[in-house]
Amino acid sequence: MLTKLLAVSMIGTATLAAAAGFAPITAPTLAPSPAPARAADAFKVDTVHSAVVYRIKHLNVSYHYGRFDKIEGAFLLDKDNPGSGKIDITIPVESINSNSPDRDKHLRSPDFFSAKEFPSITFKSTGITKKGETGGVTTYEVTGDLSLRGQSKPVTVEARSLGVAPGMRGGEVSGLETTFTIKRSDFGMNYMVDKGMLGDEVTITVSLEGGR
Amino acid sequence: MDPQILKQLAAGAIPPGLFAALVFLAVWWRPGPAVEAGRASRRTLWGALILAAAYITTHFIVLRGPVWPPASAADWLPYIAALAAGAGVMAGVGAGFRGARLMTRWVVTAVLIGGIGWMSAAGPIARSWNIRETLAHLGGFAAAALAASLAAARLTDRAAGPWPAVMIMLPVMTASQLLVVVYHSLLLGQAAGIAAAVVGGALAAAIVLRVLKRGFTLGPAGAVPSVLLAVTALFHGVVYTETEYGWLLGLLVAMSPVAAAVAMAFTARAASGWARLGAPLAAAVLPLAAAMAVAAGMGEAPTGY
Repeated sequence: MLTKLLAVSMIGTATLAAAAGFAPITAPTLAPSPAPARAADAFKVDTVHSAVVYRIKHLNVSYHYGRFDKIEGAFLLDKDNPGSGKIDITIPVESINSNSPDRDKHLRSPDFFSAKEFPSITFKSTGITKKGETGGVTTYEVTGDLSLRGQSKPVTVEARSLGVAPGMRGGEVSGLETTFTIKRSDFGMNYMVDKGMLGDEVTITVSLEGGR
Repeated sequence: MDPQILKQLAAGAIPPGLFAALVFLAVWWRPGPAVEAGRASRRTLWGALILAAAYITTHFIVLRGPVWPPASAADWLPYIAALAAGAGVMAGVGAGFRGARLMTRWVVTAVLIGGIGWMSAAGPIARSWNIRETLAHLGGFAAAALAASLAAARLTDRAAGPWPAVMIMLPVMTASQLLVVVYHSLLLGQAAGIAAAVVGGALAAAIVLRVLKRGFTLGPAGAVPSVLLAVTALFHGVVYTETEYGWLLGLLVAMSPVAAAVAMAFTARAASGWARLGAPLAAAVLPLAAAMAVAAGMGEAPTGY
């Protein structure tokens, strides 16, 4: 009876895993393994495989791109239970990288991010709904509070998730990507807005990979 | 430096400078003594008002505003300019009115400087500094600001003509340049730059009025708020930028009027006019030259990006 139950449960698990895009489950070994991840566990952001890229208009003729080299936090997008999802990320402002050390110092100064005064940018989701699913990509509408320069504003973004897969070091990995536009003046970052030197609108792309 | 950035800096400096020159000319156009009964004319009080008006208007044009409640230290700058103007009025009242006791006006000035310190560091005080850090930062700032203000008042009290404006303009202009080039903040550089532009306007007015054989005195009311605003902008630079030796540069700039006032005290009775003017000027330039040397040694260059 016990053998039968085990066989049925293994087949069931393998079927579910395959449907969710998992690799086939390998045979259990005697070697110690990390505690199995629970479905409700959030994915911890893997900085090395994540990116935050921004784009801003320069002199009304071109777009300048820059990035933040560090990103921390956790996320969970569950297509079966979208309401249980959450995104909670922190970006250390000191990690800004605009491909010019002098400009990075200026961006960290009180003219822009005032990094010593406001060391991080944060986003905390307050609501997640599923919008659709096409070709293995699930789209969510994520509402949350974006905090920048000490000012918090609600924003709604569209996030795309490719699902969940086994990680290279065990466990599971997942990812999401979103692109949205904010007005920096809404967050008190007004310097050079009116003179046409630097645009007010900043388009931000956040691509996260995380493990659990 | 990027021509667009130079344009931005000029836009923040030329209008307040022109405005200051025109108002100073209008105030001092009417013939009358620059020094009345051994004390500076009450007309010098206009200096504090001109600085406050020029700074607050330019800040609002360049950065938008007013912002209430202020969310960042930069949002406090217009209110800081108003307090600095108040300190200028206190210094001017002391110089221009009888009966205003020395202790009373400098105690009020110290309170105003304390207010400026708190406005400048309200965020870190609330969020990250412990008591020791708060006392060290605010104590250092208050000591430097009070010493520079006292010295600026001493340098300009009862001294007519363009020279007092030169003495005040030197450290304020140097602060502006250091904030742009070394502290990498155009906003803070512009704060000190507006103060320098106002004193520059006073200098231009003083030269024109001298040619026309009319009197002009910058006076403590015009000098103290400019110096105070420059020292405060440097304090913001020390606290909110990642400049190495930022505190040393700020201290050297604040030392400039102090050194000039000390030199003036020693040479007040010198027979030669060159000694009476040259010694304070050299003393004012010395700490500023040291600050520029330190900045040059840090390898910062205004090449921009």
